[in-house]
Amino acid sequence: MNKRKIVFLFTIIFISVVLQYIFFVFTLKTIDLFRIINIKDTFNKILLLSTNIESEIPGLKTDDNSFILSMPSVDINKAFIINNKDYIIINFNKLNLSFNLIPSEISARKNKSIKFINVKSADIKDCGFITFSCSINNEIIESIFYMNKNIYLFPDNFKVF
Amino acid sequence: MRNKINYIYLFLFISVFFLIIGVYLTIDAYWGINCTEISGSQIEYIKNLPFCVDLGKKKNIPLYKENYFLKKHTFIYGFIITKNYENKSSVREINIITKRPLGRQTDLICLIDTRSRN
Repeated sequence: MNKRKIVFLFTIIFISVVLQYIFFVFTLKTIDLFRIINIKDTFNKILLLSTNIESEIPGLKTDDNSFILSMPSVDINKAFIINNKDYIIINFNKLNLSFNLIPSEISARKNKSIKFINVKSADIKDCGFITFSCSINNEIIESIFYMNKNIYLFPDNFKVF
Repeated sequence: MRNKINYIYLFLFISVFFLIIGVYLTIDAYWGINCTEISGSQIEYIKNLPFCVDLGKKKNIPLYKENYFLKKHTFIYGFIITKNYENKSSVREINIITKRPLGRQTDLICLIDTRSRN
């Protein structure tokens, strides 16, 4: 084997390894991105059913790491009970982002929660509209949402999560 | 035998060429997902403030505050074009275009009723 062929082979192998590394990195970045999109979609879905942002509920006050939304309770027939509220508590603590649904006593909704792990940061702010930013590893998604003005437009089977 | 080895080298060379295309498409898909997310966020903003973009004028994105992804990837840029939908002043067609390297772009088109918000 002459010198030119050895150089050629070495170059090809080197380029292949580098490209495969780049492919691997971007595949991981895309997976992280899809995880954030999943969190964002969950938040968006909750927001579509919510009517108010609460600063405090009995036993809990919002701070930099928590956000509370309220929505009218539903009965067994999926009809809204206007004077009763179910609460969604969004809490970011120690790399965990959790969504907790706390129904009122007469609500047909059940106590549920979803937890996303290894979330680097999460920030939800109300400034007339709601700014949402979330990051996992080095991926960040920043979005803007508005409070839904007519929750009655949604079909009966539209679930919180 | 010598001929066979030359074919192996040729095959290696071609495989690297395809590998480059595959990696570029993977990176472009990653950029594309980000661009779609940015466009979606901008649409959400304009949906409630439809008059923040003048008719027929290009406006660069992001409209509201800095976007981390666009700031980091300066070679990706975008703009918003607004026009009346079928010459009806009550319905606006919002087109958000994000451009990526090698002529790739993401278009997101949304119709907004300007008479009411949402």
